[in-house]
Amino acid sequence: MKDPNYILTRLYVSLSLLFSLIFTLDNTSINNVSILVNHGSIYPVYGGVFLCIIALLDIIINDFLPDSYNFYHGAEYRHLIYMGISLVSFSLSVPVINTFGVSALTGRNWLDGGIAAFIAVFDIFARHKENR
Amino acid sequence: MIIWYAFRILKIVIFLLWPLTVSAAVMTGETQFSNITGLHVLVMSIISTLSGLTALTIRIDSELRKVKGKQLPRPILFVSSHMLGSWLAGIMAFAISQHNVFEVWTQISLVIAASFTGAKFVEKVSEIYVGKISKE
Repeated sequence: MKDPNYILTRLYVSLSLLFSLIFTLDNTSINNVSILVNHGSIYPVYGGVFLCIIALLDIIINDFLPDSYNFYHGAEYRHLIYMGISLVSFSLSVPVINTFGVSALTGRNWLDGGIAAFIAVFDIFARHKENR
Repeated sequence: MIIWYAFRILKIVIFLLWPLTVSAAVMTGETQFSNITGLHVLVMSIISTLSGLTALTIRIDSELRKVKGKQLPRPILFVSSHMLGSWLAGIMAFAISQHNVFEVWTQISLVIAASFTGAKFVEKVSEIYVGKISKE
């Protein structure tokens, strides 16, 4: 489905979480990394970065480049990619909640996670409706 | 007749005993469960729901992939079996991890894995005992 609004929404979710995660890894002054490390591990952050890069590759290759370029698995398993992004996004908010309670970062993580979950469910029905 | 009375007495005993067992369980688990915040429970239930939803999307995708233009049959049974399985398994995983004072990431991983497995398990069981969900 090449609807511009749909592409923009996917782009927003991928970039939003990617930048959040990169700033988390980079900006040690607000102790985001120490929060995650103190609560066990930082590997989910790397997992989230990987998923966001896959989602961005899917958008760039399947939506922006001409049809001769094709990232088949990115389009076929898009629902799993966005569900993974959603799970990472909600999971990242747990250590923050346990440390600070409700904060702006929590709201942002939940918003991104909710939109990603919506995209995952919407994409399946849209893809199969298109294939009819 | 004696057996009937015995069953009646047994029922009354069980009925009287269960509040005691519940209160005993609450008292035993109080130390581990008393420090849980409502927000923590909320986010863990969302994670459990999303994990079950992942299993559901995989199943919906495979169903719609089989036949082009097919409608989902029995959607209420389809969705409820997955989500109930994931919630039950998620609650159990959360309680076990909280009781054993696991790290946050271990708890999250356990809840995600348990909810996904629970949804898949109920899907398989419902296909065996209720009949194939995707039957037309």
